[in-house]
Amino acid sequence: MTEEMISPPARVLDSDRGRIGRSIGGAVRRHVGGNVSLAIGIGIVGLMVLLAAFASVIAPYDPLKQDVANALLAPGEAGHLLGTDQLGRDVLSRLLYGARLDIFVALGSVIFPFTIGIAIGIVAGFRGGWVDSLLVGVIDVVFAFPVLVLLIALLFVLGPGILTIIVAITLVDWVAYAQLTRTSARRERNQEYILAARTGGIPVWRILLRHMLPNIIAQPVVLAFSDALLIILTITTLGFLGLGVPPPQPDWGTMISEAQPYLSTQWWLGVAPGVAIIFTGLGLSLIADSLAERLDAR
Amino acid sequence: MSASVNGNGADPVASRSLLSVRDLRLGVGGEDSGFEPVVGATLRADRGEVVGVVGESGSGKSLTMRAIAGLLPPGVELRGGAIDVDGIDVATASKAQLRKLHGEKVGMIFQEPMTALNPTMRIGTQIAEAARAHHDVSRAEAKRRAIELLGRMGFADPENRYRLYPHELSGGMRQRVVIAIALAGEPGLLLCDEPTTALDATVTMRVLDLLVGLASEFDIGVIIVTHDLGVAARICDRIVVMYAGRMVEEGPAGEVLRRPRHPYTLALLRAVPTRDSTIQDLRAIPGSPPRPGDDLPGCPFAPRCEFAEPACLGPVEVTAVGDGRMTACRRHEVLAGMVSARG
Repeated sequence: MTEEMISPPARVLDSDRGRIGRSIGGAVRRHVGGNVSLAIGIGIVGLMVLLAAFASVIAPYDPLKQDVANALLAPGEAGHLLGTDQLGRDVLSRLLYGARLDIFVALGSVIFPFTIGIAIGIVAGFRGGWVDSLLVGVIDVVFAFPVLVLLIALLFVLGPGILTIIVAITLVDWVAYAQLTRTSARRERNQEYILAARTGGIPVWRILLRHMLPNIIAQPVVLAFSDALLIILTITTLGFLGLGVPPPQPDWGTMISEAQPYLSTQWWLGVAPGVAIIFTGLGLSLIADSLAERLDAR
Repeated sequence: MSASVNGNGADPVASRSLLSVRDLRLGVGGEDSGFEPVVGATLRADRGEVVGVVGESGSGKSLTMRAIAGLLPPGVELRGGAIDVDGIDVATASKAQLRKLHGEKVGMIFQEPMTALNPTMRIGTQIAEAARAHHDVSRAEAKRRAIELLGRMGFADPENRYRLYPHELSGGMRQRVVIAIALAGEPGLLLCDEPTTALDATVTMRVLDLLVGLASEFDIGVIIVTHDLGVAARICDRIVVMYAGRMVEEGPAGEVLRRPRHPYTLALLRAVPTRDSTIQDLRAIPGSPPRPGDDLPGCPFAPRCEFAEPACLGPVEVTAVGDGRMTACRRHEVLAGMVSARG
């Protein structure tokens, strides 16, 4: 039954936001099975998180230290495992510190929309009435905007920086969680166990938190993992467009952007961060897809 | 329709009275465009009494229950009549009064014990939570009370059962947990919406006996909605028969089932297999129940009724017919004569 099923979050994002296509995780899972793909996914993401966390220990050089005399070295030359960029900075070190920054920003950009979206969605779905109508209106408006354009506009208003990226993504992204949670809450509020809790006189906040939330949390969790992937792509896209993390902080998107002029001669400068993005994305996709299957998030 | 009570012992002793529903009207959709699934439901219950509400699907039984509990589904509105639950007027109740109503005055038991429990919470926690919602008790005290209730519900080893999740229980056990949750707030009135429909026949009897036992032990009123006359006959003190959103007959269970004073009750009885009847004796009720939104002048059962005469399409009066019985049939005397002639 799950064979030809696209994982729901991917479908939501497909039709509503047009940001990604079919999930890579799903394709892998079909070959190796859910447990293996979940393990691989956790392994990949875990490795990336560890590398990011211990970047200061692992990185062989200071990611910001310039050495123009040794600029644009090829991988392996003069002790630089992945070579150096146009300013002579060690690519491997920048990659590791970039992971720290990108993963940190991605985490922040998932947690806030996740929490805010679920809180708003569950209340609106449960209460119904004008609160719900208002939310649906807001969701439609936010969805109708091209995400990247909206993000760029927000970045201009708020000014560049890590915090700005998190705030901007939160402002745009919470609607995905709100929409998902609202739908589940509407379905769930007519379930007898919710009615039973209401006839039992249990306070509404408690019904939402202890009865409804645990029963509808699976879908948003799955969405969060595929969303983390999209957010990393968004952050790197912003970096590539020069709107991301302000230089000289290393960030994968900025690295790719800066490598552009050298793509025909020093191709590894662009490929290294590209591979890092793909690798992280693969891990997140594997987790999202296997979780969706395992939790049977309808 | 006015419920003209002529005395006849129909007035309960005031202090024993728990619930009184008079001429309840519920509407769906707008005042002009919508229809009324419940038109004139009348119901009462006293402490220690088991009342059966009998009728086909769609007769408005469940909606009436939810109206009493103050939990009408979205889109359904109260259009008329009065609901009084132990001194609380549900139609005009404030939020604080509704909170008091839920759990403290009224407990509700649902048809499907699979879905009436939160699958992600231990059963004991669910009972304890219901107890704490109304009584200012400590966690430990609430837990003790939950274990006590589980024991009362017939669970062996309640201390250990406390920690189980709903999926680890059978249907009958789940329904007993649902009952325990409903009782945790110590309500005076227990509303049971088809409590045994989803259960096996063997378990059904145990759950019904439990409910009857609770009524007398805790001196609470129990209302059981059912379409099973066998269930009603076995455990109810009084029976209310509903058809097309109206109360058509009411009275002591034995009387109503032995000597029905409404053709619909009679038709229901004839459709139930008994030990003495062969399959040929069973009679399906001709025609089908009115569809929601149908315009029904006069008696709603008239189109399917073998006793109907043209005057049945006129206004319907609910009349008392002795022994605390009421009927909405204007030809009840014909029926009385016929049934007694049959013996």
